[in-house]
Amino acid sequence: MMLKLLAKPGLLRDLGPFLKPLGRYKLWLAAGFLLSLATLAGSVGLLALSGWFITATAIAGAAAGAALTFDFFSPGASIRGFAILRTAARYGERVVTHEATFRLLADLRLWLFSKAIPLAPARLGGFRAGDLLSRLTADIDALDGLYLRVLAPTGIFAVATLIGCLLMALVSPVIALVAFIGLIACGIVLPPLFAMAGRKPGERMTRTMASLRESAVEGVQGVAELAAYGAANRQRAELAAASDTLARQQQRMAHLTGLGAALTGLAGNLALWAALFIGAAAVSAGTLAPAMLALLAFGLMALFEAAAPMPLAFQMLGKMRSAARRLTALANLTPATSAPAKPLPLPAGNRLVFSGVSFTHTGAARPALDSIDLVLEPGQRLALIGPSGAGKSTLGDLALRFRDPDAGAVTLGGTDLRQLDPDAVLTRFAVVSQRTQLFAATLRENLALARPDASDDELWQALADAQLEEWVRALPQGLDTVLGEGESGLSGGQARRLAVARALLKNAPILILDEPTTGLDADTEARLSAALDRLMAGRSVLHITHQLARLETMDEIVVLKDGHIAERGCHAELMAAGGHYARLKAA
Amino acid sequence: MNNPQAATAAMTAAERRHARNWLKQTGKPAQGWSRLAILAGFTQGLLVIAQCWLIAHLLHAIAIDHAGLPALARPFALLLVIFAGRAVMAWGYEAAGMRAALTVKTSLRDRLYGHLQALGPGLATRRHSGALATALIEQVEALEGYFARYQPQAMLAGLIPLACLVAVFPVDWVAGSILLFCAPLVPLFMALVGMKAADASQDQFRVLARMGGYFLDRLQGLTTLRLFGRAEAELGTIREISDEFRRRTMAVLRLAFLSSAVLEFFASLSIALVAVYVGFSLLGTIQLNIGQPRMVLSAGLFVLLLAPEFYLPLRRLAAHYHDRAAALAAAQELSALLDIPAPALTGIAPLPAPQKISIEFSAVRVAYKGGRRPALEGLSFTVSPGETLALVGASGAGKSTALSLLMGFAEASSGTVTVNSVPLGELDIADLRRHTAWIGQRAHLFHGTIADNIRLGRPDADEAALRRAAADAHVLDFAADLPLGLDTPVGERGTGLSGGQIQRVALARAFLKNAPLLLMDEPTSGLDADSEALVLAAIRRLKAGRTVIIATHSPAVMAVCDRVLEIADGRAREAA
Repeated sequence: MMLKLLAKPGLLRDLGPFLKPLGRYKLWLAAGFLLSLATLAGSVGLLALSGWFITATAIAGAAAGAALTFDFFSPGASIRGFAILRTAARYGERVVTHEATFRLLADLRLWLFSKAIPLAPARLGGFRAGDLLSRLTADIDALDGLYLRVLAPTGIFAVATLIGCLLMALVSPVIALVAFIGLIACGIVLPPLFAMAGRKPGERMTRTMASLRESAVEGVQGVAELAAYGAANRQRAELAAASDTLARQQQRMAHLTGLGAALTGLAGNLALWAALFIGAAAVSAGTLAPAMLALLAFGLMALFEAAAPMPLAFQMLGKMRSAARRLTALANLTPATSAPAKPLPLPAGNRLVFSGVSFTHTGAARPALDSIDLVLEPGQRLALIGPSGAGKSTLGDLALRFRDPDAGAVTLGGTDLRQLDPDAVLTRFAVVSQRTQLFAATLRENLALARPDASDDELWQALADAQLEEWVRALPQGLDTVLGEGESGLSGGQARRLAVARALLKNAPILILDEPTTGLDADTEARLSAALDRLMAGRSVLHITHQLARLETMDEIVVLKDGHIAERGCHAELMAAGGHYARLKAA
Repeated sequence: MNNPQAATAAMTAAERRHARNWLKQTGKPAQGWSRLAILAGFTQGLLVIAQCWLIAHLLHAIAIDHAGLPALARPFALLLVIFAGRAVMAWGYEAAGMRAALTVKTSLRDRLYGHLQALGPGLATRRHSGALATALIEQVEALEGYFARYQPQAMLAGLIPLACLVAVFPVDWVAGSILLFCAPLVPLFMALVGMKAADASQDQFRVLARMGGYFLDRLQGLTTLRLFGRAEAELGTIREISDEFRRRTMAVLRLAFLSSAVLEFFASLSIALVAVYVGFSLLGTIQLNIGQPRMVLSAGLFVLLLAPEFYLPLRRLAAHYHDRAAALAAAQELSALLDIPAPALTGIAPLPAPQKISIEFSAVRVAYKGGRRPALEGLSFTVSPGETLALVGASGAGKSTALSLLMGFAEASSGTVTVNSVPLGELDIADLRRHTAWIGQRAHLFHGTIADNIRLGRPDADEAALRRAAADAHVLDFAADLPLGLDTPVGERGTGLSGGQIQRVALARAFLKNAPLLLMDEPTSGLDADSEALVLAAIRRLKAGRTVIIATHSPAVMAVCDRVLEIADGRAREAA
């Protein structure tokens, strides 16, 4: 049944990609397998030989004189040998298999990361923030048991069952058959039955968990609303109901687990009982030596150790399948943009032209951009303004070639971006946006991202230009201050000035500013603007914003509305025209 | 830190003790089920002893007494009874243990949720709301293993070996002594190995936390890495960190494996010792068990069969040790949350003359525990009925705290706040809330339709009232364009509304509730000019005839207010 299950095309399809990398660790895994087998042999040998030894000595002791001729040295030594073998082999097996598993896990992580690189940001944006990432880490960790908890125990079980029963059959074929049936019941029949029975409540548990989380998040985030609008008790009852439902399902699972443990134990015990029963008849019929019966009975008990991990193996199999499926789904996503087979060399010029560019987001009813024509000459400053959702940020994404237009073309220095390697295109751009991604690393490392070979002097110069020098000088650890995850430890204004410093270090000819001043108070904004002025000097600038302040210095202002260009011109022209811009400015 | 074990490793002894005591207290309501689980587990242990005894006697009868099957009918039948009993107990152990854990989890979750509700929105801004949800879900769930498995097993690890000794000693005291003397060596050696393991694991958990964080951090920052052309270079670093993680983990695991190898070695060794001793005794070559009759086969087999059972509960306990680590880490976080003092809210006075609301703050001081300086220090101001007051000031000046006081989410440490001349402490806060509408910086939309969200305060409001509120708050302006209109689902997974649209839905809520007191916390922050204009138009209409307090940065919002009060360093500074 296990083999049949393994042979199912679905299972192989899901887990197949994750089995292949195992091949790299063949030797490790083979060594682990042999050690594991040795452990079991030690266990069986220890108990079986002890049982035989005691019974044989009792019989010899009872027969006068026989005791003197009984060779107790070799069995005694063997018993001690088995005891040591069992301990040593188990230790070795654990070390070897875990080592192999960690190596495998590292490979998986790298594989996943390299798959994810081209997906950012266009394809990863569709996943809910945080959810995707935490699942990716959890899913990879779930797969660490594939060999350790599924493949190895299954293999050991199969080999132990075959060898054990064959050896028993040499002494008593009937008892070997009984043991075989018991082992199959414990290891192969019952576990998948219980795994299957547990699947429905398991799925329901996942769903209940999701609605419980929903209630909890809503209750935490909406606490003021709930209190102010008299809905707090309603929400609390909802949470309690979800919590109760979860508990009921967990109880049902526990009953199943309990029943599974009970029945598996019972099957093993019944096999032992049958072996004793048949053995008793055989001994009184004189076809089986009494000491051999003890050997068989004790060996059989130890052999059932091999069946013990099987229920877990089946449980894990289901979890791993879904984990594997989620990982494969991510890895199989096609990047929004990819390098052509033969990318053209990056052109020398930096003239950025949008000609007839249209773009519709997946699932959106209206295009975000509809036949847009724009030119950003080298050194020119262009502001894109318009209400949220007018398509401003999409335009930025197209320039960075995070996405490709549905119609029209974006060209850099006269070459269509689609004929270039996306990563090469990015070398021409620096971006400062309202969210600055800082890494959990030192300040120095966060800056050096932009130019790995930057000297300390260069770093300090960039910090000075970004109005951060004073702050960093005051830090006890200076450039070696470790920043927390996200933006923790830095104010929003500081984080953005750090982004400016990075952009300065990168020294790219085209600068994209995506609402860099949103949500800052006036003082902070003034400092950031001073830093931005330094940054903009001598660069082409595409400034995306919905704030109308300080646009007077822009060479051109383009007002986007519903994916169209509503009006364009410099500040004076637009004010004179008295259109949308002038109205907003007056408001 | 999202790894529970990493957190435990970082705990001090005092924190661990505190967490253990807290777990003990929290487990009280489930004590009955815990005891039942222990009883089932112990009964199963006794049945195992009986089973060993029966099997030993059966083999003795077959091998020595040459008994035929008919003579053995009774022990064979008894064995079946024991098997059945063991199966029932195995099931009962699992079910009762889980029931204990479930009892603890559900009651704790409800208690924690109630506590978070009492603490109000201030907590969610100080701690990430995701972290609070994690506390309610994952950290409460993390207690399951402790109550369902670890706690009962910890008792059984003491009881069952004792029962085995009690059974073995009368049969053969030498064999019993072998077990007894090997047993204390086990914890001793395990402790020696374990102490080193604890040191190493502190180290490893730090690397683990770092690696998990690193991977997440880099995945989150992929776009930035791509922008700087550093994404490929990160692969090398990830490989290095993974390798370091593997080396450190293996160092810990080798020690952990060593400690279980020690356990196993003693288990195997005592089986071997018992077997050899029993064998010699049966042969009659030695006679050590002075005072007891010469050993027979049944006694020898019984002792041999019991030897592994003697160690089994200890081995199982070791397997559940991570449950304990996870629970201790969760306990620390959970108890810290529950220890944050919530406002007392014991007042019972109804709000007098609720249609006209006047508010007076006099010398109000609010100090949060652990806060560097008081959030408010001697704030005094009054708002007359029908007046609209703007509270302005830098972020952190105490504007939100002033609003929290009126919502009952914070308490004044000194000074008084009165509503219609009744001090807040004497007021029934539920009655005050009935007459209050509240709009936050980024209003929360619940899962459901736009209409459901507007109806939050009045689930029974009729269609006409709903549409009127939606029209007054300019919700219909955009809802009319949606295919499902007001029945459009919103919330995290529904259609996304823009910030301005969300604020307008929140205003519609307030229109529908029609409360005489209106509190708003930065209702237009982060909105573009167009959206702000629409929200302000709605606020202008909503404030008519109500007492309104708006915390804000926006000059446009201040313009619609009757009076502006600047708060600086927790004090009022009247501006205009």
